[in-house]
Amino acid sequence: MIPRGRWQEIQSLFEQLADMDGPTREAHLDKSCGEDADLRRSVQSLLTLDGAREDTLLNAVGAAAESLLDDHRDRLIGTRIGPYRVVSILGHGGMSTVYRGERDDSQYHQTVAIKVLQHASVHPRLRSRLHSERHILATLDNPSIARLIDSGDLEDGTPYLVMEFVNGESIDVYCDARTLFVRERIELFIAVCGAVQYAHRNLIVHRDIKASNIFVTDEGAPKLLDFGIAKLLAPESLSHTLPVTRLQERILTPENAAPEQVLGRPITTATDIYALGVLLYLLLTGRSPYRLLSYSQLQLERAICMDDPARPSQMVVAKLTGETDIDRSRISDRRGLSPQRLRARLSGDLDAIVAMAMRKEPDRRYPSVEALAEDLRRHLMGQPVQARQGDWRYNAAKFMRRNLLVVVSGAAVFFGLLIIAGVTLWQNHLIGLARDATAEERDRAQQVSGFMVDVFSRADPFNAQGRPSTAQELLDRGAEKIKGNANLQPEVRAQLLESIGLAYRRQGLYERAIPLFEQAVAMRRSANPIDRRNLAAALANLAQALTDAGSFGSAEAYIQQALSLSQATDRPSSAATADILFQYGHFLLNAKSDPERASKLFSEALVIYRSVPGDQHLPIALTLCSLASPSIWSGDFVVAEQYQREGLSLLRATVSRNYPDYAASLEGLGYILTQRGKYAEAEQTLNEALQIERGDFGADNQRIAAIEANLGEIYERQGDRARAMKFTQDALRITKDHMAPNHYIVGYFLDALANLYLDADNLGAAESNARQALGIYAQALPARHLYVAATRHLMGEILLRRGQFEAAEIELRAALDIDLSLAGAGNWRTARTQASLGWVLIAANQAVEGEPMLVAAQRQLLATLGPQHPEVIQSTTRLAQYYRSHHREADAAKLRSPN
Amino acid sequence: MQVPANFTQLLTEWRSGQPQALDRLTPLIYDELRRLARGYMRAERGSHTLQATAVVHEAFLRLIQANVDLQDRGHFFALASRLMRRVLVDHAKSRSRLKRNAGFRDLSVSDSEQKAGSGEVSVIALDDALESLLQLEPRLARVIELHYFGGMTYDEIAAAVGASAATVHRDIRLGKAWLLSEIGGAAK
Repeated sequence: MIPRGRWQEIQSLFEQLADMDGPTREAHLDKSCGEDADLRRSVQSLLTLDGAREDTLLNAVGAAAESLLDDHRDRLIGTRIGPYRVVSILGHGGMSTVYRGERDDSQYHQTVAIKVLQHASVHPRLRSRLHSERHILATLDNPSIARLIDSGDLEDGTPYLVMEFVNGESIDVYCDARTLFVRERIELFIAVCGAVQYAHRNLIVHRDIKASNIFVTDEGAPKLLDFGIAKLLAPESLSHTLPVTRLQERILTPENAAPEQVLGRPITTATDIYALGVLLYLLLTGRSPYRLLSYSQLQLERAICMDDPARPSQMVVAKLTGETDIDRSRISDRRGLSPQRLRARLSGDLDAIVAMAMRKEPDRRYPSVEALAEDLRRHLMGQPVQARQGDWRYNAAKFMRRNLLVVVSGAAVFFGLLIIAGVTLWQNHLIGLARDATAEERDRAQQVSGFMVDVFSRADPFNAQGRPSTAQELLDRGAEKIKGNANLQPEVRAQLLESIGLAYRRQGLYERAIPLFEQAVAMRRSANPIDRRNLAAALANLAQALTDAGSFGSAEAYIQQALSLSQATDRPSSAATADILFQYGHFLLNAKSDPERASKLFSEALVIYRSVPGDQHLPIALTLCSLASPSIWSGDFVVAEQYQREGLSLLRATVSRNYPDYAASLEGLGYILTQRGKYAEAEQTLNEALQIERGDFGADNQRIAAIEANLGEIYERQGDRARAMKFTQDALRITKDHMAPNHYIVGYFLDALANLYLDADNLGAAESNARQALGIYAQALPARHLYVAATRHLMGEILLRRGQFEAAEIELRAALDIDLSLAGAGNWRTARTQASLGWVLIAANQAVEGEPMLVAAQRQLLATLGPQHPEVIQSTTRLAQYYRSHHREADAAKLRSPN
Repeated sequence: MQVPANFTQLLTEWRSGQPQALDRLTPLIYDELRRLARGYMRAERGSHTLQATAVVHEAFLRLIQANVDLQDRGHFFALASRLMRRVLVDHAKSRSRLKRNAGFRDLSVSDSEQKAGSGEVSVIALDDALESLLQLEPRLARVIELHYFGGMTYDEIAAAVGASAATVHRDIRLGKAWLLSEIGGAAK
């Protein structure tokens, strides 16, 4: 036995050194132990054991439990259950043990699987339920579903089910053992879908579809086991709900669980569709969807509800920790392809189909198992799949649901009729032209088309300076006209499609704009010869509409095509290339949270605009304003202000104040001024922007929401909480009215509101708003996005105030991880997160790590944001508080006068 | 057929010093323990660790049907953890006796026990080491028992023993390292 005093020495040293890294720890050990080699050895040995990755003790407990249960299970072997002799154990799960039973009497020989259930002994109510429901299950009669033959109770009352014995292997083992190609795997999977669909028609949900529940016989026929059994065993089928329901749900094969199962929400046929998606994922990639993301159960659950899994095509080239290249190629070998070929095989259709089956919201998945199977069949036949079209259609539909159009004024209706008439006349005119076109006439046709394009573009509020001069009806009819007219010259048709698409897009009608742009792109592609410049522009338009609709993945592919096409064609570069650079920059900024690359593209665009002939004042002004954004992201508000002011003054000299981007630039300047603490000027600037927006556009719009949120922030900083709340709530209301419920902007304002609640010490409301924001981001943004980091930081602060230090630490570390990789080490966002994390660690008695972190972060914040910034004030106050509580008055005093 | 309230009652009896209550408690635990074993088997090495202890925890929650006052929960968990430890260790001991006495029945010795014999830690060794730790630093021993045999989270343990979660976390780390070193020393 170690003497008491010695033990205390060891204990205190261990606690000091446990979180240090190797060299620091060595140095401390040397210092603290001095000549005492024995003490050093003891502490050193504990520290080494502490570092072990595997939890040996946990394994010991688990192994003991397993052994205990093995014995318990064996007891039934050799006994009789009903007419069957129990021969061996086939397998066991958490709910039951399955025995092999044999019936051997004068009439016939029969082998069955007998499932003996547990829990029933503790839940009598579950038992009675089981008896009533197994009759329903017995009616399932499908060659692909293992039949329920009989059921009864053991002597001690434990219920059992007798089922058809299936001789075969689980589906994943079967596929791998036979090196089935992707096509063969899909065909087998479609057969599984057929069985599930059959059960669904009989109103039975499987609830626990997974590879180990699906056997394939030697003849290659799939057999589903345990249909409906999970429901009989599910905790919620008990009339009394336990407070531990969450925990119980948690145990149900978590990797396959759908979000609604994790969250304890109602289970429907859509839950099976999700599970089928997971199964397909496994069959295609050899891995579970969340293997890359998670390592603890809690994180796994969080991932299931929040994160998008890696796409199957990415998963097959990903290397998991602890895996080698050989492990990876083994997976593709079993599908008869190289990893790269497999990736190519899965990307596109199959990625989209899996994603659609596995959507977080049950009602956004395939409407039925049949629809899923059908899409796979379409894929196998080389036809376009629903999943890839559904994406934008769904997003856009949601986006537009409440985006009502401005009322058509009498003049506009007249104007619209004129256009329709014009199109008809002009068509005839063109047909005449086409017959014997001379170069000059073609020019005229071009002019006419230009004119018409221009007429259509007036439906665009930007060109019409925001007057409500258009109606969806007008555009719809224009689009109809084009569609119905087979005689239109392809080039003219493409231009018209683009004009209407553009007008739709500016109206926020992405749903309608996207197919028009798609058609235009297709036409430009099939033109002979291809006009690369036009094709690039068409691709850029399509990319923009997809971006607006939130389909970032396909948008980026298109805009990259547009850019490389344009760069290859344009020598020297023209404004067209600069336009695409400009657009791509904004995409990177908003969709990718990549200010660094965005800034490069903007600068490139600026150089081009300045070098090309003609009046480029407007694009130059807008690019200057755009260049302010990356600086805002990186916290360089001084530079941001310079760019914004330069752009704004050029804009002022170029366009009237009714030009829509003018108000937007004012808003941008207002934001920067707010960040710089110049509240009076910021408020004045924002009010001017608000006046323009309200005066010229009348109704609420998204820019008004942005301005109001910004004003809210000013009031918050000036301590006028009531007003801040009012403005922020209004911004949120407008946004919710105008945007899809899951648009990231909604999340952004929820975050702002959560911030206000936190200030007001209303932690419940703060947490609920922040959680909603994170939920929206999970669907609308990549997991690694600075908005996500910002809100997780906020969540960390909220949890900190609630005294949940461990949870706060988790959030803050996650935020820091994103900040470091996207914003970088010196960035104010990173420093802000570090300041919070440092404080949490201090609060959780881990000052060794916490103090230096807070000190460094406070310095960084001060250097970047200046002494007046609330983040600086907060971190300084906290640091001072820490010093004082440790009687380090001198350090505290230094904080007040840094010099 | 035992109704849940019985379990709580039996547990109370056992606590108040009636050893025969344990005999009647043990069968009730089997069903729930199966789930624990499953959790253990799912805890593949190197991948995410699905905590077997979480399952133990759940087993008890199910058994008591939350018939326990919140205030008494800490106490109850302590008791439940003790019981789980007792059941597992007793079984392991009877198994190892069986193994020694009947060489030919070695086939029935589970893989896990063989593993335990081949350099991995057995629950008996853990039990012995925990006894030593109890002498040295009772607080650590208690926290470890709650963690491994009661499947409680740091927060729950913190609430039960009246310390911060951070302290509990540190205690478990130290306790674990100490136990491993004790077990390793005893083996040599």
